[in-house]
This record gives sequence, structure tokens and C-alpha cells, in this order.
Amino acid sequence: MTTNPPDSPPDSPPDRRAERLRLGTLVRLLVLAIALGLLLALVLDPRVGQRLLAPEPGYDLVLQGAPVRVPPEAAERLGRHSAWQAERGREHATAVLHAVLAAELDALFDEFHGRLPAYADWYFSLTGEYARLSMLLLQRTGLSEGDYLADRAATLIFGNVPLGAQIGAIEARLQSELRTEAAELQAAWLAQLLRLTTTAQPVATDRAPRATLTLDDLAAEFSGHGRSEFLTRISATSVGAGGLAAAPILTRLAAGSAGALSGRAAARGVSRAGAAGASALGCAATGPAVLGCALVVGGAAWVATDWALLNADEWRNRDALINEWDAHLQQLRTEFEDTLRAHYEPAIAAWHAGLQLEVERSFSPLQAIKRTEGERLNH
Amino acid sequence: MSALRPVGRDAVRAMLDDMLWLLPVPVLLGLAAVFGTALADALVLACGLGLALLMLPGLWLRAVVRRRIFLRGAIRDASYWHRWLRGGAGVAVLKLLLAVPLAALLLVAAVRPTGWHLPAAWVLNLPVFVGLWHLASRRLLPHAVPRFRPVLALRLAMALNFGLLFLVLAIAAVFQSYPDLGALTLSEAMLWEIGRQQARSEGLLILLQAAAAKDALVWWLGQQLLPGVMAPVLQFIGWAVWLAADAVMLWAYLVICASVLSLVHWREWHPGVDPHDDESP
Repeated sequence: MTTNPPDSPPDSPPDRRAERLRLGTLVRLLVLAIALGLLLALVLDPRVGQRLLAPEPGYDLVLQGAPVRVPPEAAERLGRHSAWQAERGREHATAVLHAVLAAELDALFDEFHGRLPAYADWYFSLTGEYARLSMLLLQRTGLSEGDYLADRAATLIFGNVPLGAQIGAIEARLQSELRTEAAELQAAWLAQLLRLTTTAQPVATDRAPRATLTLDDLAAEFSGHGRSEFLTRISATSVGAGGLAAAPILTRLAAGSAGALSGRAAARGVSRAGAAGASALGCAATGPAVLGCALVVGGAAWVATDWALLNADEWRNRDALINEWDAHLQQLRTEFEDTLRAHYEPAIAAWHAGLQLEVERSFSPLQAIKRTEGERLNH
Repeated sequence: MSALRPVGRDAVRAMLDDMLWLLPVPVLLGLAAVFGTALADALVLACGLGLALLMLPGLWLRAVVRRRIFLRGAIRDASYWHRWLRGGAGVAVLKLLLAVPLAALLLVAAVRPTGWHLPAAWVLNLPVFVGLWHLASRRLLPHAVPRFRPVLALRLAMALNFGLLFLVLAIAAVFQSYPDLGALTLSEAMLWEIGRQQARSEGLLILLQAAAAKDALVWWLGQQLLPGVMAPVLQFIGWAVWLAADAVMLWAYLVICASVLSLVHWREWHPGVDPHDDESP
């Protein structure tokens, strides 16, 4: 195909050369007309191109009533990805549970640990000593009920906000994180669905799909609002203070303190009585005022001796007692964490089971079709 | 260069030959339209580069001719500037850099389904473009230097064809039906159109989504603003302004057509290196 006319043999007659030229031109014109007509037909009827590209009708993925046609490979990929996403959801939710509990309980018990010196100050003070003795006496005589030392320890160590409310706040944060995790998981799954439907090979849409996969239940399960009712389950039930073993620990903490207290108090009682008696003997020379003098001097000597003995006791035992209380707090923290984990882990496991069930149910038509095709090939 | 002035049946035959040579252009664009969305990233990249390389000869030849005309008119024959400015590999690289975005634009226009008007124009324009070149070549016969005449005729044909094509597509665009975006906000309209794009290659998908966003913007503006413009002339001008974005794509299509013709006629159309052969027959 050049713009030059083809060279004719020198001996060919001119009319034959003209005839060949005319024939060549006609052939070119015919080829061009056919080619242009064919191209125009392809342009005006895109179904021809679509048939060429996509002989497979593919699958319809239906979400909220909107069907999207995808090829079989894309549907299978989405099935595999959904199963992987379900596994990832369980791992992430468990990791969130552990991380939030560890961080929140660490922060809370660091605060409790920081209050132990203040509790020790009260414990080794004269007011603390006499309040304990008075309450002990009242409890023994039946005039007062309850465990005063445990209550006082709870107030001074756990603060004015009830422990149950503080654990409730931790649970609220945990539930919020788990809700966020479920929302992110659903968003990631939807993003993958969108990516698969936009980057998949085009499929024929002029024929019925091989199967229709409805994904509404799976999407709801990913969001935590599916049949497993993950979000409802974690929000409706709360461990709170009632389910946690704070009281026994507090009793143990107070009992340890009280045991030490009574032993040391008995020893201090002998010293105080001796000191008061010795001081009262000095009042013998006061004559008729001997009783008043003995009471005042003996009382002062009792208190002074008690103060000195308390200081000596604090100097000797304060650190050991704080360490003992700290050990009790650590034990309490571990028990709290175990209880909360035991409460939320089954909910996460049930969510994961619900997700796996929905994945299997939603993509079961794919497996059924593959099985049928395999059997047909075998026969 | 007698082939540049074919007469009678030879002229018809030469025109038919040129049209046949140009047939692969709409075929390639049609294949891109059918298979483009199914191609992986590497294949899309290869297609884009292939189109850019196909555009290169025409762009380069026209740049060379432009430089030769400048050298002949402004620089003395003995000057060494002739060697430096005559257009070599450096110009080719620059033109390749220009060809790459043009090829990407053309590929996106081919792959993105926007109705039958554009592909039909690609097919029907082939005889028009060749006819315009032959007509321009004949009209320039008494005026242009033979050495530069084919490429000058090519420039003229491209300009005329561009105006004609743009006019036809602008008129077609006025009567074309579009999605009703009147009830949506601009961002909703753009997101809706972006969401409809589908391609296996993520790179191509991004380009398609960008083109979809541009189209949604144009349609939304057209549906929100044009009903208020009552005069048909103003309405036409409005459409023409909005279609200016598509003008580059049309130019890319003409560049590839011109490049195919330049490749076919490379030896005849190249101005050569001798500055004294201007009056050669």
C-alpha cells in the first residue's frame, strides 16, 4: 500500500494497466467500506464486544437490595477474604480486650498504689489507732456492725468513687473499643467488597447470573449486629463490682492489718500500762489530789508512750506492711483482669462463630455449583 | 516527491491507502474499550506506553519541520546552529514526555463508556481526516515549499479536523441523554459516578474515577445552571466551554492519526538534512 501506482510491465497495453488500477482501487474501496461498516456495527452494538470479553454470566452479589455482577473468581476471592476477615476480627477483638484491660487496670491500680502511703499514715497515726480500737471494742460489744478497717481501707485506697463504678467505667471504654473494632472490621470488609467489584474483570450482564449471593446478614454480622448479637451481648451484660472479688481481698487486706495491729497493740498495751503506772506513782505526794493527778499524769504518760511506740512500730514495719498491701492489690488486679476476660472472651468467640457461619451460608452456592460442575466433569 | 501530488485515480487510490493505514487506530481504541477494564496494571502500562510510542513519530516530525522552517528563515546556512537545532534525540524525548499524558487521556477516553458518539466519531473521522490532508496538500501546492508541504498540510488538516470534530461532538453532546443528577449535591453526584467505574488495574481505575468525577462535575453544572440559560446560543456556548476538557482528548486522537500517516510516509515527508533542497521537485 503505497501512494505510488504499481509499476506496469513495459509491454502491457495501457487499457490493461488502467483496468488493474481501477480494480485495485475498487478492492481498496470495498475493504475500507467493509472495515468501517464492521467497526461502526461494533460501536453501535456493544453487546458484541461484551460477549467477546465475558462469556461467563458470573454471580450477583446483593447488598441492601443492590446487585453487583462479578466473575466467579471475584466471588470466590470475596468468600476467602470474608473468612480471613472473620478470623482477623476475632484476633483484633481479643487483642483489644487484652490491651484495654491491661492499660486501664494498670492505670487504676497505679492510682491505688499511690494511695498506700496515705493509708499507712492513717494506719500508724494515733487517731487511726484509737479509731480502730474503738470500733473493735464496739464490734465486740455488738454496738457496731460491719468491718470498719476494711471500709476505711476501701475509702483511703480506692478513693471516694465506688470501686464498682470505676470498673464500670473501664467496661464502658472496653465496650466502646469493641464497637469501634466491629465498625472498622465491617468498613474493611465493605472496602474489600468494593475493590473486588470495581477491579474485577467485567462480566456479561445481559444474562441471568449463575447464582445470587445475598450478603446482608454477613454485613450485619461484621458490624456486630448480626445473629450472634455481639454488640448487644457485650453492652447488656456488665461484670461490675458485683461480679468481681474485691470484698474478700479487702477482708484479707484488713485482716492482715488487724492481725498485725492486735499483736502490736497487745505489746504496746503492756508498755503503756507500765509507763502510766510509773508516772501515777509520782502523784503520791500530792495528798488529797492524788486521784486527779494520777489520772492526768497517767493518761498523758499513756498517750505519750503510745505515740512513741507507734512511731517505733511505723519505723520498723511500715515498708513491710505497704509491700504486703501492694501484693494484695496486685492479686486483686489479676483477679479483676481474669474475671473481665472470662466475661468478654465468650462474647468474642460467639461473634467469631457467627461470622464463620454467615460466611459459609452466604457463599455456600459457590461450593454447591463447584461440586455440581465437578460431578458433571467426572461423569 | 512526485507521490505527494497524485492526480485523478491515483489520488483516490492514495487516499484509500491512507484510510486503510489509519484503520488500526479505531481498532486499537476499540480493543482498549472492550478489554481495557480487564487488563492488569502491567498490561495497561504497556498499552499506554505503546500508544505514546505510536504518537511519537508524528509529534517528532512536526517538531523537526517547525525547527527546520525556523532555521531556514532565521539562521545562516553556514551556522553550526543548524546541527544543534535541527531536532534530534532530545526533541524526541521531550515529545515522548508530551505523548505519555496524551496517550493516558486517550486510553481513558477509550476505556470509559460514555455512549456511542465518540467511538463512532473515531471511525467516521478517518475518511474526513485523510480527505482534509489531501485537500490541504493540494491547496498548499502553489504556496508552500515542497520540502515542508506535507507536514504543513498535516498541520492544517489537523486544525481543520479538530474544529470540525469538536463542533460535531459539541452538537451531539447537546442532544445526548445524561444521568439525572438534579436532586443530588455536587459531591454526591461525583461519588455516584466514581462508584460506577470498574477496572482490574488499580492505576487505570484511578484515572477512570478522575475522568468520572470530571464528567459528573460537568453534568451536574449543566443540569443545575443550564436550565436558567434560555438562549440556545448561550446554551451551546456553555456546552462548548464544558467540552473544552474533551478537546485535549480529541487532539490526542488526531495526534495518533497524524502519527500513523507520518510513519507511513516518513521518507517522503521528512524534510531531510540538506538546507538547499527546498526547491527540489
